Amino acid sequence: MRNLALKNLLKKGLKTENLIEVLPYLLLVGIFVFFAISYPPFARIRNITGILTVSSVFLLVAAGETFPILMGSIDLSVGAMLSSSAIVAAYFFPQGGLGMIVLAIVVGFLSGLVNGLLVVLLKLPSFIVTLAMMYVYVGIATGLTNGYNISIRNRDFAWISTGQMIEGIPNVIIWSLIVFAVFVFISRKTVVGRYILAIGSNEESVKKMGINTNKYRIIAFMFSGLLVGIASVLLSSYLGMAPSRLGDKYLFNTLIAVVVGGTSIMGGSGGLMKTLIGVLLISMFDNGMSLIGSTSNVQNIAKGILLIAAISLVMLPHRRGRLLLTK
Amino acid sequence: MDENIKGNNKILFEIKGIERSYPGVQALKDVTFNINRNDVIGFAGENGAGKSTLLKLIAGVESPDKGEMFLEGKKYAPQSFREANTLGVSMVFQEQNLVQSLTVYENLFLSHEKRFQVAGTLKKRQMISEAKRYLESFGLDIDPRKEVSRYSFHERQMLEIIRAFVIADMYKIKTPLILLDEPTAALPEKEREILLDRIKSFSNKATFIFVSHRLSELMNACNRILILKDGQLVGEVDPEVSEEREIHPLMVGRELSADTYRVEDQKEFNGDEDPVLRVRNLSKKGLYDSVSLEVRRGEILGIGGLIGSGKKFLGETLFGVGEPTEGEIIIDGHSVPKTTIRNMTQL
Amino acid sequence: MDNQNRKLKFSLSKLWTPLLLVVLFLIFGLQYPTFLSVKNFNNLLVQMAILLIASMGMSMVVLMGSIDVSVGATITITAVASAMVSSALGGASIIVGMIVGALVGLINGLLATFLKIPTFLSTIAMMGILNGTAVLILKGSPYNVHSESFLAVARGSFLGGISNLITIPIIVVLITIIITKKTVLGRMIYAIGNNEYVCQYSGISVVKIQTFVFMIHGSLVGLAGALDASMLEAACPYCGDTYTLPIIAIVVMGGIPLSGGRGGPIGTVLGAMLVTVLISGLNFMGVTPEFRNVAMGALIIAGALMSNVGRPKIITVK
Repeated sequence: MRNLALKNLLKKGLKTENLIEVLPYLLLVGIFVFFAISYPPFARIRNITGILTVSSVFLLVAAGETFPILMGSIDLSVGAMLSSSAIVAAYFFPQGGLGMIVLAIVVGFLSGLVNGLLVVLLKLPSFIVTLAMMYVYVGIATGLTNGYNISIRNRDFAWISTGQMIEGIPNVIIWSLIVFAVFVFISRKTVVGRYILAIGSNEESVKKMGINTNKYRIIAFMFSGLLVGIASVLLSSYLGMAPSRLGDKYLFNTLIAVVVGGTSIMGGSGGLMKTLIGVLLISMFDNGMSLIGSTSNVQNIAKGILLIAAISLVMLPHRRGRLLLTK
Repeated sequence: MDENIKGNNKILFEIKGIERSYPGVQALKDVTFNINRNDVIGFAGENGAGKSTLLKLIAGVESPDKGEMFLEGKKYAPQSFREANTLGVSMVFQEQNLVQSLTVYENLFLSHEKRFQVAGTLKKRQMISEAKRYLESFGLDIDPRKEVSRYSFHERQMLEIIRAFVIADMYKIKTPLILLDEPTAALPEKEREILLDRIKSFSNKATFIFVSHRLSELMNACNRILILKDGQLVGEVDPEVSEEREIHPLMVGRELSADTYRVEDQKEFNGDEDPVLRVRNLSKKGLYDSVSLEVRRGEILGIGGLIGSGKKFLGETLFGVGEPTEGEIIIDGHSVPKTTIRNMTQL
Repeated sequence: MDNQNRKLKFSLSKLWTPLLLVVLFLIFGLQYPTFLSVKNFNNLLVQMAILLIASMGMSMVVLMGSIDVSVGATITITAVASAMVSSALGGASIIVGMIVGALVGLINGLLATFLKIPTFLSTIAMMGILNGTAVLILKGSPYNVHSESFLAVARGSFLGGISNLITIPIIVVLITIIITKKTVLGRMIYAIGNNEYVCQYSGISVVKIQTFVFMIHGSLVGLAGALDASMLEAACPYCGDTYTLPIIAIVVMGGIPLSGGRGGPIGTVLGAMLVTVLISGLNFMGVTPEFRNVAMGALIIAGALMSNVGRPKIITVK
């Protein structure tokens, strides 16, 4: 797929659509070069490994978010689900262990399922449902712990993320890549994955063919919850605790990663590999900005502007010369 | 008698006494006819005559209020479009029914992927090679691995037709019944001819029902033309024997004559008067370029062109939707500075 | 669902909010007798002031079919703006707050109309930007207000001894009712909420109206933010965030569907009463802020469902 974009660029020249497709890659390279020049330690292996480690959990969350977005919906509760899955699991299994892992994943999965059911059965816009559910999940997380994190002091559990099966590479990177690969396979090679993309692209046609779009919408949200549940295990293991307050940062970064990576917010185009680029982009950006000493606020403002720019670029082909709903 | 051999009957499809109404209007009344295997049937009739409704009923998109249909001698009453598909009846809609983001082979087998599935995963290579087989046997130079959006409207239309064959084969239907709703409406001339040729050449493998408002096309491609008027079947014509103008009175209830256009009453063009609307070198990037025209009081100017010629965008600009990138619009001698719908309607 | 049925269901659905209001009053009143005291009533009115003012603007935005998730962050930033000029301008800082709010509204409007970004996304992005800016300006800590004339706005009364926190919201409500029900602008707002395409083709400048409405909403939110700063005697980062959910809940419980086109400011007033009572009651119960948010979330879903009743089901929801 990557080569296709590049090939197109060379063949058809600098047409706007092709430029937009290649943009995420250009940005990625650009950001890397910029920070490598501004602050050489940025490019050291140690730092790069650090970036990859941090982005591992982020990758899974963003991958989860990609599924509803591919369908034309959105899941605003991913950050909250990350917390609540970890907290609920750690609450019952403060020692970590298999119990905690399974419970976290199950809680994530169920949260996603609830999201999907509410959207489909109540026929409400997904952004409202997931906005409301976001607060519900946060409420669960902080309600159980009164706002405190639950520490998990267990060497074996911590090994999951921080251990190194391969010298120099924290395990978390490996686990997340494996899980990511599984879901890339699902989205590309299974009927479920193809239908999710199809529905985002042309729901009417898909419905006409007799495919149950509601079922696949619920599945998309389930994938989101499931991936977040898995991510919560890796995160808790890495931090040594289940975090009860992650704040809006995760959601914000996730949305940016997906959109800037190239998945269309209108649904129907994009995919997990594009999200991967977006995740690398944002992680490098955050890391580089911190290294050169900027505060998180400037970063937030810059990212907010980036998000707006990215979305408006995506809306570009829809906009040219035509009237369009501005709601 | 060969009529009893399944799949070899001459009569493929029977419709008896079909009626369908919508609130306020009876769309179809007592429609009865038969379709023979390998027929290419044309539906002719004015707008509102019931052609589309009839197609929708046959395709399973809607159900009739009264009447019966039979396919291969068996009762035919599909509850959904998909069910009709599995029985061998497919429809190619005017607004295309393909998923743009998916590849050609994915679209061809969409929602019928069962035989390519192994525990939920798709055997892509197999799908691609089968798709290739179909595309080649129908003489199409289309790469099944490419996304559907990369192909032209006309090529995508062919894909929809091929899909009908694909699905029919899947359900062991010998002769699919393929319905085409105004397929030529959005095609430029060359592609139109290609489509008609293809229909004719495929007719030994399928049965077609073809709706078009261009009688010449029906005369060209069909072996039977059914004429609908006000929801009723008013006649049938054999294109080999009859001529186009025999169809008109059946369609509209009167003969087409020069009188329709009242040539006698038309005013002569008086070159002295100033034009009310004048357009000079109007251009809009990517849509149309250097258009100039003049309209005088009392004139009705028709703007025609093929699909993609830009006439719709020109019209929209004159109405005030969006601004041209270059050129002038002059109304009653005054140049219009800014085209907004408000401005234009006030003028 | 035929028309008669729909209209009946719609009228019935309007009863939910007042009904819930009464129920909540009873529940809290019976549990906590002081809930029904005059003193608490005054408290309720004061707490309702900010919410009501901001919800009026939001009602107009939602009526158009848009939404503003950045409303809480806008309150924060306008509180900051007015607080910071309060030592110099005193009571007139309120106007500054309104101007800043209008600017935010302008940006939101332009994002929606020119860049055509769906409002739920653009306002989420704005929320991040505004919060970041507020933290940047405040350098992370609250800014205390000392100007007497500024503090007098919330404390004082410019009309016959009645607290400003009662008169100002009432004026805002009246203005909103006039705008939405009695002016051409109001008709257009409803029209856009009902069928934007038709509006565009009819020559109505949807772009201008949407931007304008966002600006009015912004200035009202700015007024609310300035009042908040005056009430709290300080402006702090993320302070306005607690208002976001309640304001959305108020508008949907007030009967305006998220797709717009139906309902009005009077319903919103009822919604504001309901939400204020709920929040106050929850405070009496000693509930954590997170639990309160859960209640708001549930209320939003319930409200969105309720205001969808009787709608023709042609819209595909994603």
